Amino acid sequence: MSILIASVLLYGAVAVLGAMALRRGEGAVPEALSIAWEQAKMIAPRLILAVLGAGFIAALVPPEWVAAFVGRDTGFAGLLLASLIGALIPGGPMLAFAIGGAALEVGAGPPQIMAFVCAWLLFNLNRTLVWDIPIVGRRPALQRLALSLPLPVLIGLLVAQLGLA
Amino acid sequence: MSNPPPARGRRKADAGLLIVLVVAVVSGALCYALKGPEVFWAVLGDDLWLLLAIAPKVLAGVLLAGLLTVLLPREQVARWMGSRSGFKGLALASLAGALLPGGPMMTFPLAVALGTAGADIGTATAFVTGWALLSVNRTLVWEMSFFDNDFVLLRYAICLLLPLLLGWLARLLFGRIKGLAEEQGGAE
Repeated sequence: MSILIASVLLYGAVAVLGAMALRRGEGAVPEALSIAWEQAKMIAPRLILAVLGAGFIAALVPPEWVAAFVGRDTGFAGLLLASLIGALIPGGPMLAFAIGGAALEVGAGPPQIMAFVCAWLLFNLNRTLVWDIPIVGRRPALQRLALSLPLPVLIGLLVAQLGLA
Repeated sequence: MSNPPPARGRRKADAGLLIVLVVAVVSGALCYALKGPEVFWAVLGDDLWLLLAIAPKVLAGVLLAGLLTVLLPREQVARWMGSRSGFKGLALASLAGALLPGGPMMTFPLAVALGTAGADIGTATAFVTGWALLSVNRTLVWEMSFFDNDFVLLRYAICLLLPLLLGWLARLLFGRIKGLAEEQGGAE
């Protein structure tokens, strides 16, 4: 049911923005479609490979290992470890999300994986070193990262405390 | 022209593709060798179903990315947002971060452009954090592909106000330092 509502909302948004682009004219719709097509060509091979890799890894990794390191009962230490791994995972969203999703399937705790995902989104060492600091500058980038520092663990604690997932 | 420049990160992007290719091939071979053909084909079948299930969301994600890129020219957004201040500036910056599609090679330069257009560190922080935590494009295409809807919605809900909060904190804690530095002619 929620999938249906989400799809209606999504394609509703596509329809509304599409109508706005149509009304604008000036080749806005063909341009939007060509950008979408370029992005789709970039995404498709990566997404297919990431889904396959995540499925195989989930079948290979012994669930008791995952539970021991980032299981629901690993508490604060598990949240810290998951956040650290999340910050260090290189290679774009396909890899980080694929690993997180596979880990959930084989016994990782949802609070731990929530911390993992947020740490990747916020810190992403590879992105920080290659894009963030060189472009934005060291001080503003580090100031932002310092403010974000406690968030992954705090979010994990919140999810665990409230029993949200 | 509001057309984005050709991706500067192509070489890096290819490295990313190579990584997932190697991971998929190695883990697939190991799965076949260690767990046997039955498990291998079962996983492959599940994965194909999963890909079918996520295809519509990915399609919507790329369509939204194309439409938003055309409808919200980045330079214009930067100029418009740079001139807003206060709480409204923070809220707009978070929203722009969530909506404007694009990877780090497009987002970080825009954060710099925001500063050039007059935005302070609070607005820039809200923008980058909004992109990092709430990017609609990334969530639709990648996050929803690997996590179930409830997990994604929960994470999104928890993170919804964080860009605003971080932007406000950055303004509170670092805005003054920056102001002082500029007074002394030590602007970055």
